[in-house]
Amino acid sequence: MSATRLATRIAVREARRRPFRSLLVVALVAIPVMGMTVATTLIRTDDRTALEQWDDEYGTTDLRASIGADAEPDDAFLDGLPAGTRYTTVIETTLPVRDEANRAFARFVALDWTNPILGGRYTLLDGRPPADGHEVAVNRSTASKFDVGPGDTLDLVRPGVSFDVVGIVSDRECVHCDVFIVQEQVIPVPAFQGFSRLLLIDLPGTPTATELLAFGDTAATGGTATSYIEPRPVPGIPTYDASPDAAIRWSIVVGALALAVVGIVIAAAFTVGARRQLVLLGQLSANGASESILKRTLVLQGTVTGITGAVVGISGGLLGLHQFQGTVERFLDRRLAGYDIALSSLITIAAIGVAGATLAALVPARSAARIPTLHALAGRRPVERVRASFTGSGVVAVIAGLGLLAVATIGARSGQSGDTWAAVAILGGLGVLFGATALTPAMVERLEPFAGRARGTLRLAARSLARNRTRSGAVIAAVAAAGALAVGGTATARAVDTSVDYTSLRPGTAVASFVEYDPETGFETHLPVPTDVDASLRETFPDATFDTPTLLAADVTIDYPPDPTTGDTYAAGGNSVLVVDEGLAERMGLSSRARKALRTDGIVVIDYDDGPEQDVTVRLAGHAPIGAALRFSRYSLDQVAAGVYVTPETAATLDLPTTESPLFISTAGPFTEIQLFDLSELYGYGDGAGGYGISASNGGENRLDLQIGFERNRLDTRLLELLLAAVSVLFALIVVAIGLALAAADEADERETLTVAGAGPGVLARVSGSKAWILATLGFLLAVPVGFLPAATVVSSSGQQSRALYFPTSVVLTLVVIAPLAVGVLAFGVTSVTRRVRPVRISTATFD
Amino acid sequence: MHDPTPAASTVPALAFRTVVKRYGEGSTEVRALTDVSLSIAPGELVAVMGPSGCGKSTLLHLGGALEAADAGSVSVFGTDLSSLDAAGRARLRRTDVGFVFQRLNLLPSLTALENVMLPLELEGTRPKAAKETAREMLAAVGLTEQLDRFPDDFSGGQQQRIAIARAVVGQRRLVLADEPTGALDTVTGDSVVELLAGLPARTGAAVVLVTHEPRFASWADRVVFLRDGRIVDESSPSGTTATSALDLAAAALGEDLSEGALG
Repeated sequence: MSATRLATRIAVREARRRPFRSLLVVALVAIPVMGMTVATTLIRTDDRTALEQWDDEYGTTDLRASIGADAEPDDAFLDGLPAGTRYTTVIETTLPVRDEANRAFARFVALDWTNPILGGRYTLLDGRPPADGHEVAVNRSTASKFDVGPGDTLDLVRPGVSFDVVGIVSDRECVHCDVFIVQEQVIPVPAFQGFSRLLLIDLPGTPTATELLAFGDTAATGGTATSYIEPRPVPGIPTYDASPDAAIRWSIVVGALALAVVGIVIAAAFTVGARRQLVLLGQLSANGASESILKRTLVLQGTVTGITGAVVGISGGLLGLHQFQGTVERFLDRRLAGYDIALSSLITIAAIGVAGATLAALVPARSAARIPTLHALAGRRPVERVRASFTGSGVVAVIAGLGLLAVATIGARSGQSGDTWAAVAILGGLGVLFGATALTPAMVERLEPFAGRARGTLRLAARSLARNRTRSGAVIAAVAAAGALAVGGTATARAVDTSVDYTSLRPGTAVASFVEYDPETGFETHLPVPTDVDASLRETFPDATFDTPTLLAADVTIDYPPDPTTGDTYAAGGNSVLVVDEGLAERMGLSSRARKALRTDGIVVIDYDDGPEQDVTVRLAGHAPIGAALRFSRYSLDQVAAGVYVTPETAATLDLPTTESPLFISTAGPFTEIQLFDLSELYGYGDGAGGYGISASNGGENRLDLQIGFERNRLDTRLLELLLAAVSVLFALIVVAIGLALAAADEADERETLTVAGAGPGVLARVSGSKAWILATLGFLLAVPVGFLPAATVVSSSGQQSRALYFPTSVVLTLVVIAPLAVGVLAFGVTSVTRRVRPVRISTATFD
Repeated sequence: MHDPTPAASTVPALAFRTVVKRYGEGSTEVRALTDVSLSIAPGELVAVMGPSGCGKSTLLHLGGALEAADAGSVSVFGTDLSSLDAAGRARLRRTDVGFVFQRLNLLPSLTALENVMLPLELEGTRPKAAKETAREMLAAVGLTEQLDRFPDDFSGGQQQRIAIARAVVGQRRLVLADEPTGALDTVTGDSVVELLAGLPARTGAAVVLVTHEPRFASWADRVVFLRDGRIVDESSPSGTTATSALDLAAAALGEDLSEGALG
């Protein structure tokens, strides 16, 4: 106990005596801990039961009835409510509005906001409620956007009305959106846009679930104007409350994974500055400290910095949430009374942080504690051959890790126990990562013969790195971990990108179809898009390409292969075939795999069911079956055609009659906010946040459908590659810089000897640059298999034939060639400047 | 000069029997010690002299169980060190053997008091008792104030005094001092050696002092001369002056050991 107390005391003091290293470790632990704290708190806070959400939105309302937009609550229904019942109506719609300079998708609400039923959802912050049809109360977001306040006039170009702003309100359930509270009669609803009218009913007392459900039955059978009655989701009312547990668990898993990666950097930090540490161990050993005490002294340094990092991370996370509550409220789009902070989660997160740092310190501690006392006192590690068993265990860990990844991927395909397979995959990834780390000493050992053949400063650098095998290996492992992220990430992202067609239209594309519906046959026929619509679309998208692809009329049957389980066969029918050339296929966003199939077979079937790629047979009336067509999963393109795509060459052989086709619009990049807004003005509301685009109709017998692809938040794969490579290179730069900075103190002897031998600042800088270059090159070389093999295993085990294995050549070349050069040049520059500002001073200690 | 009383104990504090220690292998092999036999009695002060690389430090390292002999045996108070495992050797250093090095003596992250408490704490002594004992030992080496300060706050001489206090704390009976004055000025060096030389009388501990300085050797009960890993002479400089000790050493080693010649 006494010895442990001593080890703790020394660990705390040593952590203080090495502020740079300690700060680094604290930061490395704190960042993932902070991420986990924020993520779990936000998930908990955002998670509301159906009842909590009801309370926030509807206050004390017991029944919510949707009634027709133009209807009034049915008197008979109201009369049938128990004595003491209160009710109020809320009318709401969302419309695009703009003045001369600003635009907004605004929520227009008409309600009696002082009614206690609403439970204070709306709060008057300034001014007064609107009293007549010319007045409006807006929320802060709107007031800021249009730069108005109480007493100002808001002139809207669209919908062409002017309002006197009389108040500023807060809507608890709507923070970043724009709220206009007006009188009912002035809600400017366009002809094709409806609005909702809700009747909120507050029954006397506290009705039970049975009583509440009875009202629904009454309404359904009573023929009232109420079309649908929803009861307050009290206990007993069936509701769907999604548990946040899985999300919380996964946010912690992701954080723990991040800690595992930074753990390698932490281990490197504990390893590279080992000289002073070794002297400390030597002194302890000379005074009778056992190996376990030595190990404890080092491991506890990890624990101490880990505890600090965990405290900093959790405090920082909570402080950040507190400081940026406004931003969080905008993100969650509702006012928060406070955060839902779970002590149990915080304890788990802190424990993970502390355990991560402790384990990271354990690895170098185990080997350092075994160094003979005299070597330790001299601050040296004896240079021994790398044990074959150590390298072998690394190889085994890598192979086992890849095996687990394959098992996890194959298991995940079964669609069962997703969490279990994910855990296996994580274990596999860690196996590869830590196995590769065990290979680094063997890599560094190979520098010896290289140093023998190299010349000048490169030989000095290689020899120095080889003689400090443990330290060099630690830095290489950390660089490899950073680089593997880029290689593995891009390989996986590319593989996914080549296989999965978008579940909606490609961002930056739109399909406008004017459809005539035949009630007798049930068929829809495309008509030419009206000229005014065509003109307005061309005005909205001046830089777009407008295609009117050829659509062939045909009775199509697609025969799917028998179900492997049941043996059942399945066929689907259609009535058209779309003719696409290479350019149009690319503009439509067909995957490279689908385009290749189109080129090879002249035909491809795009299905909107998710599932594996498979061979199908296409039968066209009057033609021989066309086999070997591929089936790809893709939603929404059936807006364009029934899913059968042929090349112009194939179309020529089919000799089918053509029909009118929809208008296909494509731009190089995603649509802009202004373009989306303009479309909404033209064709109805769509706030642009959804994944399926705007679908609108102008009413009447013929229907105008407008389908827009605009996944605004979708990250471009090339951008992802660039981002991953940039982050990885930056991380690697930091790691190498840390390695060199921490090692600098230990290399004083080497510097001084070189200086005494006549080496100038230039030579020292070249040695430093060469070391950085070698470390980064080896690290990134190791990163290629460490990153690519797991990605390749996952992709090839996924069973998706369409998932092409992609080797990220550009990223690899950047990491292996450009990044090390950059790192080397940077190290050279920094050392050059440092040695000129702070010339080497020869210490008497070195030569006494 | 202390007069050792062999009758007090028949078991030597430190005994080497035909000890051989080699470094390297094959063509790079170096014999640091060859057939060294030496017995040091409890309460005896022995100075070890010889040119650089003659094996002086190796002798101490073997005696303190920091290294193992390749042949022969080394025993401390009758315990054959080759019979001890790593834990046993660590325990020996905690309880019986204290070191004083030329530099890097003290743990920079522990205060003066804590440095002296170190072997006691490692042995499991209660903190209060350890602290009390450490204070007494520091007082015995002339340090009574500012004991809660860190080593960097003390002069070189004071740091060596703290190291000596730590070397004997817990009734350790064998102190191995490897050129403890090497990094000190003459006056400070004198006071440190005086302190070490007084240990046998005060504590009964045996002290082995490796030094290049003949004048320090003149304080010893016995001077052992090493050359190329062999003991070439032993003498008793009692009653001799520093100058005569120098002559003694020169005669033993056949070298010019005048102050100017010694580096």
